[in-house]
Amino acid sequence: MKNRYIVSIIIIIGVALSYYLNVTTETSPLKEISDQKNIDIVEHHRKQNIEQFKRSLSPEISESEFFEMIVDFAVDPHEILKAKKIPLEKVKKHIQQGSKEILTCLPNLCGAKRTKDGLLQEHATLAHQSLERYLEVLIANPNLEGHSLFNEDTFLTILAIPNSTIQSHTLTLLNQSILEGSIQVNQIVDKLVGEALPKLIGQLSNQEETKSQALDLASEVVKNADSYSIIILAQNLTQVNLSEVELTDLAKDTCHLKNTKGEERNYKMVSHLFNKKAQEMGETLNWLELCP
Amino acid sequence: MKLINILGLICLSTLNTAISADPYKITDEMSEEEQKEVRSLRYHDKFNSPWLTLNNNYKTSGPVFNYNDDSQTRYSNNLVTLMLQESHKVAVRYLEAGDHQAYYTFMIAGLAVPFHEGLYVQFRVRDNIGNPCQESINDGTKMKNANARVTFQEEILAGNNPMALPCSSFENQEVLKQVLAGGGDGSDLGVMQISTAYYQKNFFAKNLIYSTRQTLRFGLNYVLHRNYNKGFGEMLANFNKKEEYSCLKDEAGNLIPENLIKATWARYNGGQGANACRFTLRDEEGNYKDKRDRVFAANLRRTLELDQDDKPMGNQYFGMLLTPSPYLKNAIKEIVQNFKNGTNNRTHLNQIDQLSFPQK
Repeated sequence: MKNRYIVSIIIIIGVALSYYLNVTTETSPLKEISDQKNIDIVEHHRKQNIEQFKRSLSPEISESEFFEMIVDFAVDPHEILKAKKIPLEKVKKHIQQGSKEILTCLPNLCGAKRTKDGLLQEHATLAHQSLERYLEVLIANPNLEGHSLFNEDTFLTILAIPNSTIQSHTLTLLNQSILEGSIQVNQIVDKLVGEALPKLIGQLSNQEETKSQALDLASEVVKNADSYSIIILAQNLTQVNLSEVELTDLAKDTCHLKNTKGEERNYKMVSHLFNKKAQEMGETLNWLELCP
Repeated sequence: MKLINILGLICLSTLNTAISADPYKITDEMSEEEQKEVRSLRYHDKFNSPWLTLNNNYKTSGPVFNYNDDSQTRYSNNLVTLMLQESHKVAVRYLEAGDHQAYYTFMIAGLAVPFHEGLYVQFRVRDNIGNPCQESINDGTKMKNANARVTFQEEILAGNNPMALPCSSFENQEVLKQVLAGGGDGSDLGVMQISTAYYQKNFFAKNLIYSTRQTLRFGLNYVLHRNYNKGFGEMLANFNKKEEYSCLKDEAGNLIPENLIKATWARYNGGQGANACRFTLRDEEGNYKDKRDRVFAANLRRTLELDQDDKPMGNQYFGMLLTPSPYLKNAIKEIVQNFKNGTNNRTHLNQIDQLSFPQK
């Protein structure tokens, strides 16, 4: 009789163990979810996502309602202030402080890590995207006076981040300061990447007082920058206000590509893009004359 | 007490049978037909894990792979056309500039990357037999990365008509539509395996995953070609000047197009900061240091064999084989041969909608 009891107990333990190993472990994520059924799951994951980012920020920033909307990409940054009636002064103070904290943690990517498969967009982390969204809020709300929200050093630090979206947004904010010369072009030009440099040249070309600066800068790019930067400028010539003579002069500055070994394909691409610009202007470029 | 014993024994025996039965096992006793069936089960089920089952009311756009179709020609034609059109849209700038080597290099990348990333499939339908809906994929709990989980919760599960639902919602559905969800934990979606961890704002928040064309467009243009100014375009322009691109040129300083494709994919896989020449690194035994580069190199090699009639397009093991109509096969052959021979023949390519380009 005693043996039967022992056998029964062993069987029951066996059944329980088999069940545990084969079923419970397989469905453990589900179990976790059902345990959390009273928690807002979206909120839970959101907190996990920005937890590492938040650790790089002060509670004053990371626990604010405004910050929650900044890291919620479902909220259009143009609509944030319309959706919530947050006093403007409070928003200004938040963006000032939040941006500075992001700038401080960016060298360590503000907690961003490689994904399991090794992916890391090191200049497009959550912190970068949050900074982009701060800038978008400022652009969408001129009454926040975004151009005067930071001192020159801070703006220069932001412009030194190699992310063309952040740089382009900052240039939009600083348009007037750049045109008036309070931000020196030579302080920023070397830092700009991708489309940000053509954007700056475009901005400068639209005002008589700064047009020659734009032309000098464009000429400097096509003469000395790396080939990809020349191509990006050529791709974005639409933004640059040029006369026929100015376009022709700029085209001549690209001739060095024709005669440099290994640059033939870049010369082809650049001349093709210049031709497109010329076509838009109703002009034709004669490359045999320009670059004999 | 006797009854409990008997019940216990029955339970244990049933469980043990379930544990020990290996549905994939092929034995000598099996007939050839049975062995074939098991092999078929293998590739269907092995490819089961990385699929996200879609809400029946969620609208998708683009070809849907169906194992039950005797002919895959319609699927193949649709997908190949989309791939060629979207690659051409990105690469045509090179053709316009007279650089057909760059054009065909990108066109090859446009064939190799969707194959490597997504086995030429974004959406599929399959019978709801054998639990093809995986709970931990469909509720996002399998995802390791916190960014990915948030994207999943906010863009895939949220809204009035969410893209995915819990598996229990599909119990009475005979056929399931699924989207490829790889990355080991379901965090990379679609034929280009777009990462939910990194592209929430620019891709998933815009719901571009609903469309195979949009997914190809985003993957080929935004990630593969541009990649934050560190993709194909930048490497092609600067390969002969930057030390970090030394693997992209031969001793004479000429571009090695195959290596440009490998480098472009290395950054597609690892992000803008990834070592473009990662694929040249070897361990002490001479093997690829990163096995992902080995697999991509093999898939690129297979892509470059598509000008041979006996080489299938796709992966036989997973049953993801493409059988496009002859006019498309000829167009693909033309791409491969132009790439290999440095030519620019477009007899077949120009017959495809949106690919027409005057032959110079």
